[in-house]
Amino acid sequence: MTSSPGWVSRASARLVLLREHLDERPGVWTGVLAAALALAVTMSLGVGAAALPAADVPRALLSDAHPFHAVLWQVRVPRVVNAILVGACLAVAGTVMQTVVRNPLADPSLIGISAGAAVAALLGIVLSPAIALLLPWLALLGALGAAALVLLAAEAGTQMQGPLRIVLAGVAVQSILFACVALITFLFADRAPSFAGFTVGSLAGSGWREARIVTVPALLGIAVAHAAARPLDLLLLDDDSATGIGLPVRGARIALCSVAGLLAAGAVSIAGLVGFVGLIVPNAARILVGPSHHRLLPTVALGGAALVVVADACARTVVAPLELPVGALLALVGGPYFLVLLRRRAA
Amino acid sequence: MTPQHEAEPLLEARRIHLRHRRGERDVVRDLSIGVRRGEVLALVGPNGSGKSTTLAALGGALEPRSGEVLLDGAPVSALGRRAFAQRVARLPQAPACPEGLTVAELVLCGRHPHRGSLQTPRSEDRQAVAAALRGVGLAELRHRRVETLSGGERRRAWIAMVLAQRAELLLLDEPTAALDLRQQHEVLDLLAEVNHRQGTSIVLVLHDLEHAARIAHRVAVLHRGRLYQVDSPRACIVPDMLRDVFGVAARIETDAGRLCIRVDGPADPTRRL
Repeated sequence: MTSSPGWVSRASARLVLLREHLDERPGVWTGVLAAALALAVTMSLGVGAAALPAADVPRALLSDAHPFHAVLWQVRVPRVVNAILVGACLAVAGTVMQTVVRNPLADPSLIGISAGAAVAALLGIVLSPAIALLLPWLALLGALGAAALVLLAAEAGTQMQGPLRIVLAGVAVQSILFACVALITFLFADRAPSFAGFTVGSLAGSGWREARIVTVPALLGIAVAHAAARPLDLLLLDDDSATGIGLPVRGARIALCSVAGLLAAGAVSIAGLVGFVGLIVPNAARILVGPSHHRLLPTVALGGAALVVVADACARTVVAPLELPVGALLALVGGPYFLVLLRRRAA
Repeated sequence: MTPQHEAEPLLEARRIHLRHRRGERDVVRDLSIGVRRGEVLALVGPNGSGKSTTLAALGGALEPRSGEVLLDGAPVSALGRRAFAQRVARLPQAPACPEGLTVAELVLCGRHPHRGSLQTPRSEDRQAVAAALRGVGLAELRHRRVETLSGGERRRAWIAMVLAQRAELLLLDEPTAALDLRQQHEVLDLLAEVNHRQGTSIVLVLHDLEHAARIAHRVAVLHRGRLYQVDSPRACIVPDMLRDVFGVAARIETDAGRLCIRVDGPADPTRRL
């Protein structure tokens, strides 16, 4: 941190002070982010091929006489719902993974879990179109398979899996699974989504169908993660200490990996491989509310949702009438942030 | 409180053989040792004699290759982690520092075995945390982040976490490591007080034999993975043991009732340990 410019350290010192101040009122950030999400949703509903002033959005939603009523309910609302689901799922999945492997750079889209979900989801799409409702659960199987592969590879030869080993094994598994994604999209080009669109991640064309099939697994995963806030806190300590306080560490790791897998699978089923949300949001949120999960998880869920809603609104407007894949925009922001994180960790 | 010498041991290892997770030979061989209710038992021995490994096995963190560890006569392996943690707390040798957690949050982790999984901290949890923080003298620093503390403060924060667990048996791996002279004495006094006032049994790994003599009711001397002797400090800490186990020529003196060790030099300068 010594190399940071003065204003950075001053700002972070101020943030620490602010955090101590807010320690007694943990609900404040949840409120702020909920307001930000509401604002982002309203703005996002207004933008698109035909613009609607944000102030008119509530009226258009409620009155079926309004000319925008049908467009809103059939196109924009489901899309915003999908953006919220994707953002919340990815951010919570990233938070859980980072704690489980004790590495703030871990993200399901980085260590093969999202890629595993993607392979299973693609196979489902290619083999039978009738499978749609099962898509997130199929993707969950893929995510769990990939997670098991990563854990086994990291574990090979030893009884314990160290955090770094998991990340390294994840990178290896990820590259294999990406090759599978490439092969499936190439061999079944007529039925599968395009490789580029799928691997970058996009909400284009997503509607109520996607929202319907993903809402249940997404809410389930987020609820379980919140219920597991304390085991997650204990995993912040080392294995030895966590065991000493009464946490069955290995079982908790496997269970929480599955939760992260379910959430990643939900996001993949809607939007393909959206990266960086699970990396940016948890790390930024930790600066705001600290690493304790009963405060962190609601913050990241709201923050992740707001981030993807805003990014998607931008993706729809910057080169309108064309549409950018939202994953590309997020990567444009997320990549540099990743570098900053690496730099901070190296210092 | 005087230890109940005749009673069944609270926690007992029976003929355990221990091996590290990736190790190829047994670090501890055929060791049997019991902790009595209300006693302070010090594990001493040179580096590599198996003290920390034995403590890990007593704490259920390392499965013996053979032999068994019993809590109140029942095998520890049959108890759930949580049920075990309600009764036995363990301080590891060098716990990794969690980033961003405050001292109070860390100490609250010690309450886990006593709380329902969805329960917010109750007043008894807050009281246990506050008392533990006061005990180690960190009440003022409770909102500081653990990684910003000095080595000694950090050590005391971990000790506070173990104390907040309110277990009937504490297993402490070098509780005085990284502490300066005054803090060492404060921590030893605190542990003696916890033992005396609450009847908490304590097993602790110590490098300093004078500390062991001061705080322990009994001392267990480990030598090359075996139990060399277990007895009262005065019976254990004698020139013969120091020569055999630690390889030093030393005299034992008593100064105002306190045991002092005067080391004259290596026992046999020509022989390497």
